[in-house]
Amino acid sequence: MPIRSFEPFPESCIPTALGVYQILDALLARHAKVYFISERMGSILRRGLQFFPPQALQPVVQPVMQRMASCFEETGYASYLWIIGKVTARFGESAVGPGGDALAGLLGGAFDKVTQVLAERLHSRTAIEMPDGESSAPCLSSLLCLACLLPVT
Amino acid sequence: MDDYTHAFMAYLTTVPDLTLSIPSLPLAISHTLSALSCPAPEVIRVSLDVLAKLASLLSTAPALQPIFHQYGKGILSLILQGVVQDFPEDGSDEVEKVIVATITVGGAESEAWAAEALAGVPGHVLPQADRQVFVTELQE
Repeated sequence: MPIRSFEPFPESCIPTALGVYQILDALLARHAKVYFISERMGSILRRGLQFFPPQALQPVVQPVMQRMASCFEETGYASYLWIIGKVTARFGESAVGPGGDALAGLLGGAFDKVTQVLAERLHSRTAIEMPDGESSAPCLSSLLCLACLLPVT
Repeated sequence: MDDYTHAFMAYLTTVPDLTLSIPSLPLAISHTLSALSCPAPEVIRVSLDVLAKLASLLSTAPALQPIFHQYGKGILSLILQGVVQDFPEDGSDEVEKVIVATITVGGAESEAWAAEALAGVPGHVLPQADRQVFVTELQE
């Protein structure tokens, strides 16, 4: 049975979200164009959005949104687009609240960018020809194995 | 297109004011109409949800009205052709909302839009008599 989260969430685990994402981000920097990685990444990030509380995810939002937008621009893979929607669904309320201007700019900028990118892609193909990725079970162990292959800097 | 329309829906639901202020909003609506033309029930369903959501925001977002008007002919065309052909039945509530909003925004032009849209439907799918009934009801 999958663990959705912990309640209460251990304080010592708060920094884990950022730590994990730094590994995933490094993987995307090198392998964003690999389709199955985009699929696994979407699945893992979605589960991470559910697993970690907002205070753990806050430092991750900006790098995630920027990376997803740039990966979508680079590849057109649906998973990157999907995560943008998921992050907004999770943090949109914070963007309209007090002090949410920066977050609002980030969310709005990401959607604006992917909308422009999609427009460019639709110049060369029709909507029917745009593939949609199907969600699949995450293969976290495989992903972490790949992450371990990254050179230590 | 499925994921784009889902993302658009998430934005409209969670941060509607922000979404309606995005410079590429007309493009986003165009993409939604492109998605509506995909022969996949799930994509059609979420596209209709997006259009219905936009329709619900028209009264509170005056800036949205000219954009909706800009795409009114295309919206009505896709919706009417979809209704008589291959739209999923559980989207009928959203279809009604979108048609009402498009006709309201289009005003007198909407009659011509509807007539042109229905002209594109094959006669064996929609008999001439039924077309005339719809156009008459629209005028009323």
